[in-house]
Amino acid sequence: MLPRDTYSGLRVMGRSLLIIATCVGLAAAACAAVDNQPAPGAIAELDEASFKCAVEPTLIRDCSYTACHGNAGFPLRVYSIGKLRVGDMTTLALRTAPLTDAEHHANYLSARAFDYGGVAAEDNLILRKVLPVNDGGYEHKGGAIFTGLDDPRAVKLLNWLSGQSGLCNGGNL
Amino acid sequence: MPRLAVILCVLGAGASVAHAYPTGFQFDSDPVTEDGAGGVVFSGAPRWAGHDCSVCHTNGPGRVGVSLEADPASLFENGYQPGATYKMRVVLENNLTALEFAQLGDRCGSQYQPYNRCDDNGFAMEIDDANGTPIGGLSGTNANGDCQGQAAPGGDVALIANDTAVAHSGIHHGQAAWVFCWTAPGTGSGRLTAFISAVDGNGGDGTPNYPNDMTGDDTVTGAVPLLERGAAPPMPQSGGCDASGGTGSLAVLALFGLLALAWKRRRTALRLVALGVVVASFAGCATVRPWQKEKLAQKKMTFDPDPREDELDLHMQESREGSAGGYGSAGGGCGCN
Repeated sequence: MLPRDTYSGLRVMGRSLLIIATCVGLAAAACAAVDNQPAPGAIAELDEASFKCAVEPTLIRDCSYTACHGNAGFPLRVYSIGKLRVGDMTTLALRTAPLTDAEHHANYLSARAFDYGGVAAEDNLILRKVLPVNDGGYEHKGGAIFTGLDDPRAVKLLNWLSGQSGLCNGGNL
Repeated sequence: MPRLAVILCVLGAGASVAHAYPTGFQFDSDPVTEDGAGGVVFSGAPRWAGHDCSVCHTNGPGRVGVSLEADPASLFENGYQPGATYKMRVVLENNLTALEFAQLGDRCGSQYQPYNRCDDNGFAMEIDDANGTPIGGLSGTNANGDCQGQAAPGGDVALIANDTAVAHSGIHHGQAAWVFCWTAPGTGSGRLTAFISAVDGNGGDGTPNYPNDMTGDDTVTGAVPLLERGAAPPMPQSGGCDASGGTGSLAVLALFGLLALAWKRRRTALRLVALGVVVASFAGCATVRPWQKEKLAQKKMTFDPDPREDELDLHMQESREGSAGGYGSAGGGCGCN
């Protein structure tokens, strides 16, 4: 038989353990799973195939000149045949070679970056800046490139920015 | 040929590395699969957002000019005769760049040894109506060099963009003038504008491997008005007024003022006038879209006396809280920019 003092000490220890266990249990019960929410300014996953056939031709045709966006130091850098290229550009043959997959992808990333901040497609700067003033265009050094929101090029761009895919296959162009 | 309209202007541009379009036909080439512009004409006309030769040819010394000549010269003196055909000539003035190689003619470029730079000059031109739409007919000259009958194939000019504009064909190096024909549109077409842009190439550091470098090429762009013969010159348009709601505000204020005058009790009348002012001010409100907030978005428009410090504080706050946007600073939750 244990001495009285030892028995009493064990009872106190047991009570303390019970309290601690209760606290731990309550704390555990109060816990909730914390999910990592997407960053508020995350860039949407816009369809690259649709970009390549519906948007990139416009960027190359209307934006890629070397004093404009065909300049590596300018925003919305656009690679195109005969103008800005990735890598060696010292010969005519290198400059006029077909665009590589890496260059197409870089053009896609340049354009997709404008989706930063979760801005609405119709307010996206890549669309908005090049519209006429009456359609909300402004501040584009190269002026109004699109004739309006109903310009086929603007429609394609807006559809792509809105997250549409399948624009190469008879989608809503 | 009489020369009556002369434009001379200088464009400044930043340095860049570029590649030329030795023939105007490349303006029509598919830019996705080959070195082309997909139908864009670099004439400086509004339909191309004012794009001219300087969108590619950069860093020139700024000394060239361009002139437009017409035969008969009455085109510029009395206006165009509807339906009449004019022989026109675009002349690049002060063609100095690579002029030392002009005497070589076509014996230049990477295919000849020793390598010599080409004197590659070019131009683009179109004639548009007041709406910015090309008007009249452009064509090349015939075998005799005039505008009668069928245009001769080839020649020094190229009709591009579905024959709505004319450009250099790139056949002869050292060329600094181009001749073509233009048939004026019918009666009532009004004031037209000839948009011209020209380039003095090749002033760049061309090499045997890459002879078409476009840095150092001078460019010039201008517009020549063409009035219709016998038509009164267009009256200057009065300035517009875009005060949204302004008229509505005045109307509301006038209505409340009349009601106040009709009211016998002075206190109530004053209240009515005050109410009218308030309502009128709301009538002047307009929805402000994000892209119209340029000035409001400027740092100096913030309430904080030290906007730069405010920006720093907000940037740290946004980094801490994983928030983005609002006002005063750029960047998002990662804290990287």
